[in-house]
Amino acid sequence: MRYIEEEGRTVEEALEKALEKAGIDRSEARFEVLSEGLGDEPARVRLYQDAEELDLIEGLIKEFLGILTSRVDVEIEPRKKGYYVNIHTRGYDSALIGRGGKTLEALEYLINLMLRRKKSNLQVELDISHYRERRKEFLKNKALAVARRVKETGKEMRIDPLTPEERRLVRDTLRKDRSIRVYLVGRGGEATLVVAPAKRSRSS
Amino acid sequence: MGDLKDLIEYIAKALVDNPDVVSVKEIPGEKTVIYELKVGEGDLGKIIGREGKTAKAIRTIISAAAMKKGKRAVLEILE
Repeated sequence: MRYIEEEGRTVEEALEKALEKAGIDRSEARFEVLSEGLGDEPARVRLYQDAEELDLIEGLIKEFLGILTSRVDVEIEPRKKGYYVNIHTRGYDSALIGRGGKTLEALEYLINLMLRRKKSNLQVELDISHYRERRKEFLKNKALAVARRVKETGKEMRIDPLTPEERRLVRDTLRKDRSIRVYLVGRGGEATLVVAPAKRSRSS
Repeated sequence: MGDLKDLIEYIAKALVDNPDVVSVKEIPGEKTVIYELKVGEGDLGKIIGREGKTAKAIRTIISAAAMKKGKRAVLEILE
C-alpha cells in the first residue's frame, strides 16, 4: 500500500496538505492520524493512495525502458490533472531527452498512449532527471532578464524560437509586468516571441 | 541490437488490438539496421496514429536509442 505523510500545526492542516499533494478528494480519503499535534509536537497524518494507477505507471515505464537500460528509477507525484513522473535511467538520460527535449516529448506521447489503453483518462507529464523543471526555471529567468533589459534600453528584444508550451510559460512569467508587452511574430516552427516596452519610448 | 527489436515489439503490442500477430524482423546492415514491423489487419492505423504522430514518435525513440549505440535505425511499418 502506498501512502504519503504530512505534518502541520493541527491534524486538519496536515490532512489538507496531504490531500492537496495526493490530489485526493476529502470524501475518498483514507487516512490515519499518527500524531495529534499536542504541545510542541507537530500533527502528523498518513494518507493512503490509490495504488492501482501508481503501480500501472511505474510498471509500464520500468518494463518498457528496462528493455534498453539495466536500471530505471521512477518517481511519481500526483498533480491536479494526472501525474508528474520523473525518471532516471542508467546511461540513457541524455539520449532519451534528445535535442531540445524532442525525444522526451515523443516518449511522453507514447507512454500516455500505452497507459490510456490500460486505463482511460490516465495522463502523465514525463520528465527525465528533472530536465523539464530545470528548463522551465531557466526560461523563467531568461524571460525576466530580457524584460529587465528591454526596460533599461527601451528597445524590443526577441526570444529565440521556443515550443508553444515554452512560449506560454514566458508569457505567463511576464504577464503581470505592465511596463512591457509580449507579442508573437512569424508562424509555425519559425514563430518567435518579442518583448517590447509597453509604450514606445519615443512618444513618452 | 536485439533490444531495439524488443523495444519496437513492446510498443507495438501495447498499442494494437491484436498483439499476438505483431512481429518485428531485424535486417542488419553495416551502419544502418532496418526493422520491419508487421501488425495485424486493421491495426495499422493504431501504429501510424493521427497524421502519423504515433509512427513519428516511435521512430524518434528508435533513432535516439540506435544513435546511442552508434548506429542508424530505419523502421518500416507493414500490415
